[in-house]
Amino acid sequence: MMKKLAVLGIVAFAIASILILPQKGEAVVTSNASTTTSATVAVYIAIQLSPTLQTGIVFSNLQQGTTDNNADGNNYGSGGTDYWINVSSDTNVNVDYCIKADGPLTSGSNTIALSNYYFANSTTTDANTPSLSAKKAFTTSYQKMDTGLDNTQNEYLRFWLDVPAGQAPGTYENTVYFQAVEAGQNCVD
Amino acid sequence: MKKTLIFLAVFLAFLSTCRAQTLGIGYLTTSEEVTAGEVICIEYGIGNPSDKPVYAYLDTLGDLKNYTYSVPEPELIPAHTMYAGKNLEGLVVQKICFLVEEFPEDKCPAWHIKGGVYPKATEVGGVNQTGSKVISSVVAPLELIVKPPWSEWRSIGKGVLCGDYKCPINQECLVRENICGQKEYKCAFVQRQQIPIILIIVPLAGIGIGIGIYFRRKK
Repeated sequence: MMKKLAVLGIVAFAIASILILPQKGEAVVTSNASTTTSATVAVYIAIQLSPTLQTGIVFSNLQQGTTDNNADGNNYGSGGTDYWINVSSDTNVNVDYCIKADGPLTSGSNTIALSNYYFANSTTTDANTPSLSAKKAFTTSYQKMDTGLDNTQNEYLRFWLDVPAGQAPGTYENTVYFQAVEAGQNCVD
Repeated sequence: MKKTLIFLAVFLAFLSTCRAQTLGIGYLTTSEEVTAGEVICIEYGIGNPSDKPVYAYLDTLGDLKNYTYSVPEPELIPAHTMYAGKNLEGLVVQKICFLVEEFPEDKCPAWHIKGGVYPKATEVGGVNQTGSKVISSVVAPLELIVKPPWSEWRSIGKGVLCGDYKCPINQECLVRENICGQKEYKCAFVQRQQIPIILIIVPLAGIGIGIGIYFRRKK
């Protein structure tokens, strides 16, 4: 009797194995397969600041209660400005320029508000261009200057500063940011 | 105090060591699609049109700042590193990575995160007189289009409507969902794996032996 049961057990196990094992081997194989091929031409932008602009925007010999003080490289009324930016020759798109300041000019706890600090821009320069009459006050968010410049054009700049009457003596500093982006794009703060 | 007090200022002799650096950036994309929870890395090329080598690395601006996963180490960008005119050739290539860990439901169906990538010089110029330090940058705009993560594909059977159509008779319909309530369907073959021959022979042999023993005992 025991032998019969053993034999039946082996047979049952064998049949069960045949029926069950292939079910365990079931697998889902997806039929979707795709390849995307794309070719994109790289955009390259590089700018260079003029040697004078690289060293910063400096105002010497400021006096209290004066307006429209020229930055040292302005040469306003006497020749072209020493402040300019150009696009390097390997740049392959036109560019837009933006400008902003990080905050008021500061000396310790004293400040000169940005509403007293101006710039003007132009793609040409001479004794009167960029012009004082076209000046705009700095802000802490980017303002667009000239747009769509190619690698043969320069962006010329001049800077002026008003010093309010009674302004405490000191060395006032801030940071001015220039940004170049592909023409038509927004500058990013 | 005199009304015409002069603000004294002195140029530093070493102004040349404090010059603002100018760099270039090359890019192949301004928009990338990414799934929340997955890291995406994008390559940019850095150029240097100046006469002076500069240490620089890629950094981000705008809303992308909050989702920057890793920025490269500062790397020397040799003087006169120029774009060779094809892909990013000629430039020093660096990779910057982004990760949006979670997808908020109120951003459905896709979350657009905007900003820019730019080469940041480790050396920043300065003035020591009334005026401004100058920092210039060239920025590659970048928009990440973030999609919510999908669930795993699951089968909803054969012969059922699979999105807008029915699958072929030998395929099953699979579906996956996301938190925006979107569903994607696809048809898939359900393939049975090849069963090793030994898994067939051994049970069959067992049956044969069992039957043989049974009949021999019966005799």
